[in-house]
Amino acid sequence: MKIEENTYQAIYQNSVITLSGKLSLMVSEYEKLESFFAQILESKPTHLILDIRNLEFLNSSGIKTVCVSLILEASEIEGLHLKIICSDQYTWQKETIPNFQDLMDYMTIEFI
Amino acid sequence: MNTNMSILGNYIEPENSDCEGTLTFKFKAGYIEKSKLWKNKDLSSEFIGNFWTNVLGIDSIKPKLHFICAELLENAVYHSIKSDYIIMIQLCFKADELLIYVQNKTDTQQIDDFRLFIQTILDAKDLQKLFVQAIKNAKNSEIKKSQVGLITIIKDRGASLAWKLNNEGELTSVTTLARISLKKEKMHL
Repeated sequence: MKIEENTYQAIYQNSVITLSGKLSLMVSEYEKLESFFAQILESKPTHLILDIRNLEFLNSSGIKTVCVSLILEASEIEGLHLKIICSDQYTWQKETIPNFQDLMDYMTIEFI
Repeated sequence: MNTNMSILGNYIEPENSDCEGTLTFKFKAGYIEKSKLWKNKDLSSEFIGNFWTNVLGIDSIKPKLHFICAELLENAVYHSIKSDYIIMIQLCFKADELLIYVQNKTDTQQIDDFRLFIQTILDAKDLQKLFVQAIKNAKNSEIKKSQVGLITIIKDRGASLAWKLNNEGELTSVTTLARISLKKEKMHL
């Protein structure tokens, strides 16, 4: 499963969701990504990896979309473990992603 | 002080702030197509980040400025999109601080809710708790905007925020000020 737009790319393959590029869309433009996450979660996976190492920018509507449509929804699936893989090279990831920890107990955040 | 005007937070006027240099963009929201306006918001924010990184020689300021300018402009575009009013972003450089002003006009009927939210952010002792609450509220509500951007600017980007609201009848002029301390940035050099 894949979304390919001018500024960003979202791929789902072998339990890994990879987001890359720049996500600075308008609120309404995030509906496509919301549906993408919903489709993944519909299959009730037992583990998921969100790889954002190549995500250069995420605006607040993007933060909301990832937190609400992926993390909070995933937290309601029994037994699902979510791992977020981040990059040390992006300051915003170091500052913002650890905030997500309080949204889901069964989640780990790893910086590479 | 003008009785129609109210100040929230530690606000200072640009003319009283002893700026060493300024950079200003102004554009008429109603004149530009929404998608182009959105793209321009990104271009302006990146340009401001690059411009001041070059002037100051502090690399860490670039992503910070980019995010803050983009978030404030997004808010201005959202609230001004139906109007033919000027959106302005002005960046003032002081020896120890960067001041970012974003001005737009919005519907006065929405101001009370906005003022309440601003006060909640300014009074918050635990912004992480407020962030989590804002995300949970966003899940349980039909409202698309979560206000996570303003929380992130203060909590993660280390800026302080202040507002000047000027009631002009049906419309209210909103000036948002983000203040970034350069002392902290220089300490990390």
